[in-house]
Amino acid sequence: MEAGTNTWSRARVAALYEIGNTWLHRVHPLTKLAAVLPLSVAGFAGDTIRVPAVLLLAAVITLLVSRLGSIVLKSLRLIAPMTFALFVIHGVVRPYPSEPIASWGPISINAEGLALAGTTAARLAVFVVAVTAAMATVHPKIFATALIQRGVSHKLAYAYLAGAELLPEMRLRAAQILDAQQSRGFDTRGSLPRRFRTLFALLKPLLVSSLIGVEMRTLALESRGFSRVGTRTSAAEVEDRGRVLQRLLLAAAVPLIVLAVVW
Amino acid sequence: MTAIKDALRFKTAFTTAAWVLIPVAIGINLIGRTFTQVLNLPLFLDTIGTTMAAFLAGPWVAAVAGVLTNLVIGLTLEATSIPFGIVNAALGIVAGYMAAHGFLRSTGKVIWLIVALTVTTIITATPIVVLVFEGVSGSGVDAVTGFFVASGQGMVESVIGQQLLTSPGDKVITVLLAFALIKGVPARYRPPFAREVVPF
Repeated sequence: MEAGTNTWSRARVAALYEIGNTWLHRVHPLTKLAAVLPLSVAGFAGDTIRVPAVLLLAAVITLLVSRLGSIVLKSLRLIAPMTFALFVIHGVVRPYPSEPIASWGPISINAEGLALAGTTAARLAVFVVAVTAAMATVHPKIFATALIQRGVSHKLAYAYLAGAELLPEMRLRAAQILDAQQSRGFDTRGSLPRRFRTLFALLKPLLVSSLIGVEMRTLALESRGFSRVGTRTSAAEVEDRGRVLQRLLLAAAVPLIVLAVVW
Repeated sequence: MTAIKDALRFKTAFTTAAWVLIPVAIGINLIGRTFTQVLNLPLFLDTIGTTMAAFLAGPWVAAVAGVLTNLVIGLTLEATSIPFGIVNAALGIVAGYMAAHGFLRSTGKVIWLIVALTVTTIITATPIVVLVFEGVSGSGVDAVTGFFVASGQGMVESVIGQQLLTSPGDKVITVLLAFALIKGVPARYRPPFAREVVPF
């Protein structure tokens, strides 16, 4: 199956993946991943908000024009609590030697702190938008296949992919156990010791059954030649392209890392 | 003792069962965090899976489980968790090595294990929180950091102070839960490493 097609089901993969066929979906998964590094590091080069703000604006406009506004929303949802905490801690709570720009009783707002909070929030937003855009437009299976094509161990790729597929499954099982235990009278809002007891009661069946399942999965994998040495075929096909661009993107990150460290 | 030696050597640690255990550990790490949110507990419990992997299969398997947890969660749910993969891996290595050297055999030794895990968290997480996130994490513990900052402490001291207050409790519950849950697994399902390091 080609990277970027919209025939992959979302049901068995974690929440980030967006089915679609935009230009970003068609870019090779490792090219997108390679682009994350220079983009993110560039945000840290310089000590003002200018560079990360320009990068963020460019990324958001590109995503909106490409009808990938959902990625912007997802990124904003993720970055919002951190941005709030940054502005409170650096802009309001942290004492500075300079005069505050506004004061209400014990609360004072400082320009220096607001600038630091804004710069940090913009840097983190560039990183979050870049990762979200790269990974929301590639199915984990395609990503794992692309990694194997470039020499990453198929066992490591299996662990990544199985982890990504197991997350929604375990969340579902967790919700079912929570419902079942609540229907038996478990209290999720009682005192702290009671909530700890509830936590153990919730975790035990889930974890014990997961660990018991390890033996079954091991036998299933062994019967499919998991330990066999040599090349293997994959149900998912990814066209091997963009090697030069990927190397250029990674090379571009080197001077940016130096710049970020020097600044 | 062969199982312990195998688990401590990188080349022999990764059996098929160990590779199967890694995704399970990733799922458990996420579930621990989900349940603490549902129950409004002042804990993270996002390293239970890594700790269990350390007690079941040794330090290297736990380290890979730790890094992959943050990579999988970072690349599929929350990008900001990626840098903390280093913390998760370091915890796996420390827990695995200490388990292999008998630190699960008595209450006194378990306390040292918890102290070591707390110190590891502080040493590895503080530089990331300060340099990358300027002291915030976007969770409730930011209020504790804010308290230290407001009292005139520097950002490094504030983050260390916050972790000294929040991390030990988290590690106590993580280790006790991991230990108790492994004891709940019937003996025949426990990997050879766990049979040697976890007393039953």
